[in-house]
Amino acid sequence: MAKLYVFGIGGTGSRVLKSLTMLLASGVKLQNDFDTLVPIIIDPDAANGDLNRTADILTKYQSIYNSVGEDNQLFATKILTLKQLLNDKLPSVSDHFKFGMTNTGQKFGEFIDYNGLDKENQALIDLLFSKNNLESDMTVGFKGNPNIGSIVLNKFTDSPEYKEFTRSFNPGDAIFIISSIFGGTGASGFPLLLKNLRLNKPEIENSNIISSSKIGAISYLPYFKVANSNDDNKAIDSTTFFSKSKAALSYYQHSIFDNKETINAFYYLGDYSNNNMPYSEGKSDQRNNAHFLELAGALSIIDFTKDFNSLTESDSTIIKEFGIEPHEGSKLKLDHLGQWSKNQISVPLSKMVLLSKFLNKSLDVLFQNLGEFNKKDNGISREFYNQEFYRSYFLKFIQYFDEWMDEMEDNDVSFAPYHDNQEHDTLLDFVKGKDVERGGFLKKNKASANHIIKEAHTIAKSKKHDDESEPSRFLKILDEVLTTQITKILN
Amino acid sequence: MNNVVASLYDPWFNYELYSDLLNAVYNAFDFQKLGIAYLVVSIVCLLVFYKVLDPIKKPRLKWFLTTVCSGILMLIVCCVLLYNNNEVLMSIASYSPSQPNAINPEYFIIQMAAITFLYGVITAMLLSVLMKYLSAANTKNPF
Repeated sequence: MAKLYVFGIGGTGSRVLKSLTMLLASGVKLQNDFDTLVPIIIDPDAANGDLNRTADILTKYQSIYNSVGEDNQLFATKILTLKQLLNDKLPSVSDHFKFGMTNTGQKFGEFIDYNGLDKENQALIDLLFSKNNLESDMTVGFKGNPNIGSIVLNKFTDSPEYKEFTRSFNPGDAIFIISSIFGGTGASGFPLLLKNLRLNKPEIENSNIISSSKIGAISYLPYFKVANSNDDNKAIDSTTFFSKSKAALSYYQHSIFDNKETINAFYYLGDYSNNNMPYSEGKSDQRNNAHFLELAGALSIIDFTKDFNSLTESDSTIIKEFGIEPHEGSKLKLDHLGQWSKNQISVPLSKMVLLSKFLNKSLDVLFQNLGEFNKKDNGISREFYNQEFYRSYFLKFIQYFDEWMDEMEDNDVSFAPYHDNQEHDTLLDFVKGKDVERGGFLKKNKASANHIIKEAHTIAKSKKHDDESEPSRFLKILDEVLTTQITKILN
Repeated sequence: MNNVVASLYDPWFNYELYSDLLNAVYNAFDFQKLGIAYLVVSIVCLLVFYKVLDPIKKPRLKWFLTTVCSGILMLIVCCVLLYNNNEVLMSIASYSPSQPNAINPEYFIIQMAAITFLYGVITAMLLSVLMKYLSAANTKNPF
């Protein structure tokens, strides 16, 4: 069994990791021998809203995984921090997926000790960096300035987290890097990280294994704009996104693609869309809505693990782009996805959506019912719904999942494959384009959530999950029921 | 079975007044037929409830309605049996309200039907204790 280390750089990295976590929770699995995901978020802006939301989602996922154990379909993939991976007690290593960044809580000029330089070197620095660059507060990241990021991030190999990462790396493990090309942190962090990973330094533990390991990466071309960024006083200007992307691509061409075996698989994603994110330079304000392209990015990580064995046979970089089927209208449905993507996410994503809708709309009906699922012995007791697992972890995760789906629907491009006006009696008629008979005069209602409750009772009655803990039984029974219902609906 | 079921009805009637009619029912083995009907009707009603309908919403109310339905069906069975009992029919034909201490046989049939309804409901309720295990969604219904 192997581990996949996923470095998420900057705000985009955090959001793609969030999408990947949602997919893994829904039952999408890493392929080949990969059974463990080690997310590492690199962002100098420790208060970044996207970063903290992703870290919280990952922590909730872990709590659920630890409660239900292995051998589940939902929440099936193990997610570990570096500290958990090594079972280390080192206080210097973070236990919350964040890569510790040192010396970023100051201005860039202070970081390079501009005032301590002699006149000649100050003149050279003035050529490379503007006055605004030197005055730039790095507490919130590099605000779209990769020239700053490339200096500061070059230090991250000195951090305890990097050392722990190299120490835990085993043959067969792989690395995936997520970054955006049009910002500051991601655009500068990706080539630096790649360069350091490919260096074989004897003083770094397992450096020889890491330098020859398979590495995949995704780079985001511009896919959103920043609202009201025409003001000259604002550091982030979305009109420069394309020129920055071109410059970065040109750099990647020389430093990465022209060198064989630097990167094994490279994914591009971008979109001409009109979505405007609220202007924010960082901290808790930087909390962009989830976008469909981040889900596509998460799928590229699954694709990387799928192609992992074939990557070993090729010494050139495999480059992929993401596309969708031709369609009318601005809202994406499941049918608009390519066949592979559809196969990967249709059932798991629909299952999780249905689970959320069921808990929202049908829990009261379930509680009124007098079947086996509500029995403590082989079902789920009423106390379970007030316990920490359900209230603090599971329900919160489902709330994050709903928020993620809603944000993707509100964004441009809108990913809206599900109806959102279901009630208990029409719950199963929720996938757009897959109508389910809602009943009528002398017609059976096939869309009622009663079917879910009845089947859950039948499975509980079969006693096949009696040996499981209550949280695990809860997930296993509902997963079984929902898989059956979703398969019926989609086929 | 004829004796057992008959003993369930005896306490409801003044034997001296109703002996002719009760004997007519007894001699035609109608008590036995009622006994068999109690079992068959209750089991069929409960099978429909626990296996076919197996309701999710308002299960206790629906269970109670099922037992009432079972009682109503038994009431109908009772009326059919008694209106096809020759001796009872002869009593109806020969009944005259002017006779002293005369019992109206149709009133007897109504009394018998009401008692049968009650026993029908009770039988369905008692059999639920066993039949509920056939269900998936109502294994705790009624308790």
